[in-house]
Amino acid sequence: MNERDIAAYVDTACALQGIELAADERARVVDHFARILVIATPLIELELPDSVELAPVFEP
Amino acid sequence: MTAAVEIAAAVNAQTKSALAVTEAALAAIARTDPKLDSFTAVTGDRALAEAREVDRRVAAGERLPLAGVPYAAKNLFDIAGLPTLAGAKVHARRPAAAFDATLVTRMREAGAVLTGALNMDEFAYGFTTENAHYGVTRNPHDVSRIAGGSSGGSGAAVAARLVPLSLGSDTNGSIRVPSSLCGIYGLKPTFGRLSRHGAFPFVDSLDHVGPLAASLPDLAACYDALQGADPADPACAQRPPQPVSAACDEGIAGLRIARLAGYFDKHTTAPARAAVDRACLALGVTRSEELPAASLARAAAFVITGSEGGARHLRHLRERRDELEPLSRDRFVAGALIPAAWYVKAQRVRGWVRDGVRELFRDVDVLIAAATPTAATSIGDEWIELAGERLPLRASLGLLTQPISCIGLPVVVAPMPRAGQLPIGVQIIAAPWREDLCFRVAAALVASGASFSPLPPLAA
Repeated sequence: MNERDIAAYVDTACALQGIELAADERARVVDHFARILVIATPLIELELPDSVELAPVFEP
Repeated sequence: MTAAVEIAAAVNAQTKSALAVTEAALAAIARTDPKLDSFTAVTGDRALAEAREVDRRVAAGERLPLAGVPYAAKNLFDIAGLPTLAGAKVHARRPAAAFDATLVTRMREAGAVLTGALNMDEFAYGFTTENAHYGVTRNPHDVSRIAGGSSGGSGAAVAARLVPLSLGSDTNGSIRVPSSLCGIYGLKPTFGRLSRHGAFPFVDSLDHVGPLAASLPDLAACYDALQGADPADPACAQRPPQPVSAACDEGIAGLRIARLAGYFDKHTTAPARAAVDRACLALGVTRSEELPAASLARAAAFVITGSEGGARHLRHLRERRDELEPLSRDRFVAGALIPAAWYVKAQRVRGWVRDGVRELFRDVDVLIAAATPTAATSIGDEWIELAGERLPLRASLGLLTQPISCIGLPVVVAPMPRAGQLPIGVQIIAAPWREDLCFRVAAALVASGASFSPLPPLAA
């Protein structure tokens, strides 16, 4: 996903969530979202065994 | 200010009154806190009333574990009669809390005296306590530097000896980061150990609450007073208390202790690595281990935090964004936009990492790592260089704490001071529900002389 894709996603997702951003805010939110994407990418791409559950109750 | 356990002994023996101790604490706060901005409210009348009640109970024959010990609580804990700010201006006009948080009640029952509410990052989303509404909390060791966050007031008030104990919360490192930067002891217990009832939430999946203290025996005494099941918090384990105060004397013979390498070495500056070196030398630790998938655990905590935090504050993000903290409001918005599939994946990764770390704990009892990548940075700093990479400082202060809290492991932070340098702490990490092991290893560090809380020049 390039920066233009991220900006388009931020615009659409903000519209869906009812958040109206000013231009300077939008630029900063796009930066933050790009950073989330960098950090999340290895997690998104990780293949997990089917048996790994989203535990409804978390017991450490 | 003397240690909590000494105050309690003296008040129980009626050689000192809780009222006199409380008056001295209130005077110290009035004198020194203007230089630190650690308190957002001082509850003087309540403190004096609680102190008189403690003196009455002691005179009637009761013996209380924290008799007459002054403390203060991060301002996300409900304190009856005050609005629960959680660091936010948009909370300032909320109705006052009708009841105390469970932990505040437990402190009162144990004889402790509440002196006030402490500053924090807005909604706990930050590691620096640079709060645009309530001020920047300053590090007592160098007031041009941050105290860490988000429980920065809890760190600074204890480090400056305004109170021997404080309460904080830790979602990604918010007890451990200020403990490290302020040179004090802090406990992030096992997820679900202590009740969060009446503590304003940030990230339900990751929120922990716990104590901070200027000495290890005080930290243990406070933790022991806070323990116990609470049906009012659905995440609080229905377990009986497992006191640790006595465990501190048991020594570390037979414990398998390893230093965390890999990810944890990579994300540290030289002073942080040196603190871990000193701890390992004092404990005779030569073994290293890697925390399985530490980087993925950090990513999972990051995504879960953004998503749950953003969702919680969606209405504020829509309607009152201009009243929110400039340092975090854009991050909150970005978090609210995270696709559900990423969030769900992050929660599954959390379970997967937990299973891997359970395996590691078959072979090791305690893990040691730095608590922060660096000692306290200057107020306003935005960037830090780690392993040749330029990273945003405010998010990166939690790089070493986030993978641990992601899976709910108990951690004691022990300060590892060095003369002429800013303090920095190490994390002493154990398997779930084994806080006792964290305390035993911390006690060994204290006994070796390597760990103590350095007294800042402006201490009361």
